[in-house]
Amino acid sequence: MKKNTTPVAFILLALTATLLPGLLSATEMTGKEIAFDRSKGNCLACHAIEDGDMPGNIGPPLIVMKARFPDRAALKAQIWDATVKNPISIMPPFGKHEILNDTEIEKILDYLYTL
Amino acid sequence: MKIFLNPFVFIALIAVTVNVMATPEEDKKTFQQFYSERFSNIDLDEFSNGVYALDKDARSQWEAMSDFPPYEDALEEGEELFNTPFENGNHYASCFQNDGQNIRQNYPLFDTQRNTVVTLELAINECRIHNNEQPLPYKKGDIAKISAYMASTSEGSATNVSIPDTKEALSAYQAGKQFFYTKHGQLNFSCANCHVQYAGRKARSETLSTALGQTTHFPVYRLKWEALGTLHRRFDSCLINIRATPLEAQSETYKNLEYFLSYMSNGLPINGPASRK
Amino acid sequence: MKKSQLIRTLGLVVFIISSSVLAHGITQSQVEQAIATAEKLLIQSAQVDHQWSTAEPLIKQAKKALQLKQYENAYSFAQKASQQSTLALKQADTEQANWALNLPK
Repeated sequence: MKKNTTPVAFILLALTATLLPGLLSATEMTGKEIAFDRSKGNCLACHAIEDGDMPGNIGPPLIVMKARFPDRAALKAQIWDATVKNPISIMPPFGKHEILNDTEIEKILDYLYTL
Repeated sequence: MKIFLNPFVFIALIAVTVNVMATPEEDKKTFQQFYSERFSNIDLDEFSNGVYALDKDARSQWEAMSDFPPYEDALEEGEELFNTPFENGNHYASCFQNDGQNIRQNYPLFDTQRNTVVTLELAINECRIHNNEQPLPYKKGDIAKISAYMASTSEGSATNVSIPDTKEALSAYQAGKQFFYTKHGQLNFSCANCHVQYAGRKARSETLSTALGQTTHFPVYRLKWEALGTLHRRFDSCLINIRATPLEAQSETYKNLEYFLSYMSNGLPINGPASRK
Repeated sequence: MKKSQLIRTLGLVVFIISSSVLAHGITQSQVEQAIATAEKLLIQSAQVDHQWSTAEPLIKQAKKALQLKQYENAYSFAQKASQQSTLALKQADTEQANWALNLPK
């Protein structure tokens, strides 16, 4: 039996890997990983974050998020499309331009509120 | 058009209308003033040194490297290429004013016959074509070496780009200006976002350079490239970073951008080639 | 097999079954049409100097999936590509007015 299940599992995995790479990575990565990943959130490019190596200083450090953004929706809106508040904002509109999907942004939000 | 409903945008638009319509000379004044106010301890000429004008730690490393510049061999090759006659016996020097010596600061120039911007690299290739030689590939290789040599003969000369008083020259300048301030790519950055508004800040550990002085030191030996590259090659790198598709080297858009950017640095000394990270 | 692994594998199975069911809903010609649309939008965005580097790889992925007859997948890539170029064109439009706000004062 074991001989049979291994290839099946392998094919399933291979299929899924080719079919749904975005979804797979989104479900497997933690909010912190998405925030730190250079091809995803890459938050460290501009913001200092606890545990983050060599952060940029273009945006404010991501600290005491709960005090600064008591309203989760307001923080989400800022990540989704910062140009609504400031049309020349340097912050990429992560949601509007589909840089990250909704699940990924929600995970980042969860993570940000631990800071 | 929803954007006009935003009162912030509306007021700001009225406020900047003056700047949109400003003459190149007025633009240049505002542009240079912006940097001298933000970096009041830095002399205007120093901006030709890019991030090394701003970042002291990076500067000392860079200066140590300048004792044996990594572009030295390429520069020598450039001089040799420049002085090697074409098959018809003519030299590059025959195509340029002052035999091609100390002219870098006048480029890019606007050709009022053809109504287009002529960059130094374009002029080099047109010289080759005129002498029945194949044009060189833009962005890197021999063209960057020749351009580097020509720049080196202008060392210390003040950037002196002129805009003829014609509708076409002004509109080329305007197009370059608009591109510079326009957001591009999936990441939604304008050139100005990094190199005006956040110049001097750090993206990760890299200091963002000022747009002022960006054109004076090209072609550049980039450690990342391990070779010389032209300004248009550098434009590509920026666009790739913001997830925009790079444009063709010597496309009208890149040429116009170079025209605007060089005009903004008028008065700053030519110091190319130079090395950069 | 750990519980979490079991859940994950089950999840994958459900996903693949459901996507293969959905795949029957998309025809080859629908995919081809979606790719053609994506290519048209890509060119349009380039014409205004606003092409995004994210769009073309998605078109390539769509074409690859089409070759493998993974129509639903191919369709989804093509649509994503179209969406990226549509956003790029929107950006070009917005910036027609917005760019001037960047000017140093």
